[in-house]
Amino acid sequence: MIEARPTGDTLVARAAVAFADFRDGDRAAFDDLMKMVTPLLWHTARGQGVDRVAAEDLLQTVWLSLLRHADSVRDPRTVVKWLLTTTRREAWRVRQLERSGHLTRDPLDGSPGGNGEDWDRPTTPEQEPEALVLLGQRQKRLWHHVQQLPPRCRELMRVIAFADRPDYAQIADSLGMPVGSIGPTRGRCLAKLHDILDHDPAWEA
Amino acid sequence: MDNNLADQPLDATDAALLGEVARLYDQVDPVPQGLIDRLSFGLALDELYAEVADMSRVPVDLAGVRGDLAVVRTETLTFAAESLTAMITVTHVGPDRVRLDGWVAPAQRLQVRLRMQQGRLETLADAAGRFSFADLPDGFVQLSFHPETGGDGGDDGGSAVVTPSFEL
Repeated sequence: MIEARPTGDTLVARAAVAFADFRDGDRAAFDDLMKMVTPLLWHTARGQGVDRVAAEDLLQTVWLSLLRHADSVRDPRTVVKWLLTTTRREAWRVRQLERSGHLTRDPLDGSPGGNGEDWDRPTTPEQEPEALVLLGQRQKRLWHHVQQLPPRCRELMRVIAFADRPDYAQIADSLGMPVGSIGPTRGRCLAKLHDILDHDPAWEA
Repeated sequence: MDNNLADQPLDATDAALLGEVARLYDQVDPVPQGLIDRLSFGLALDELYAEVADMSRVPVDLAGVRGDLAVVRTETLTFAAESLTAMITVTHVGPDRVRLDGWVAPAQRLQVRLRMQQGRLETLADAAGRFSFADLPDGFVQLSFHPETGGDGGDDGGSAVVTPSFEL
């Protein structure tokens, strides 16, 4: 079959190749895909305030769903978008359950997220991780500065940090961020982080 | 804030900063060790399924076993799919041995399969939807629920429900 094969060496492109291979009958390619994209999905789920245990469960649901619905992803180049969208939807569901009291509540920030309407909501920092005490001074400073970002920006920065630059715009879009949030220009969130760092006299770029 | 900053193209300082953000999150909130293996196990099922159940863990203090903690450790999990919901309790009955009791709603006779790292077990849920697996080794397992076929393994992938894997 003649078909435009995805090319390029970014996460989205590599994922597209693996997914296309899987659909052509290479079962092992699905595991490759899973290993490749799981870190991005992990930080997406965690950035949405899902606790670590629930995030592990959630990622299984996401991957099993893709295995089940592989045929519904028409263009392999959109597989990362499908995964990110599904992860966010599942994260939303988990948080709804937490709110209704069916689960223990251990959110990172409880931000509603998802609709892009809470840009200027007061910032609720992520729960301070235990590993913070192990960080160096510079990383501690960066953590505290990242916490000053609006929740949606923090989510974006956290996920984008694990992606490749040519993919930024597509990933931001998949996370429900407005066009131009990042890539090809710096965008509002990253500019804001630079701005915060610029106002810290102790921070050296 | 300087709006020009936002309109400039991404450059090397951005790449360096995002690299630091990635290393930061890798330290404070890394992908759990073993997650990839657990995902691989859960995805390696060789049967067709129609639905993936959402899994929730019921907190111990809501499961009403607080007084028994010194004797047995019990964990409750719930699974929700369009076509059925299930609840299981996992009871630790000895060193590295567990018992799994479950029920399915709506109550119905169903074939329940338990996939373990060591192999696979099957049982039937009774008319009240109850099922159990006694004396299991610990490790990752995955459940699937199948319409009763009345025979050997004519697999109805059209309506089976599979759960994420979980650790006993």
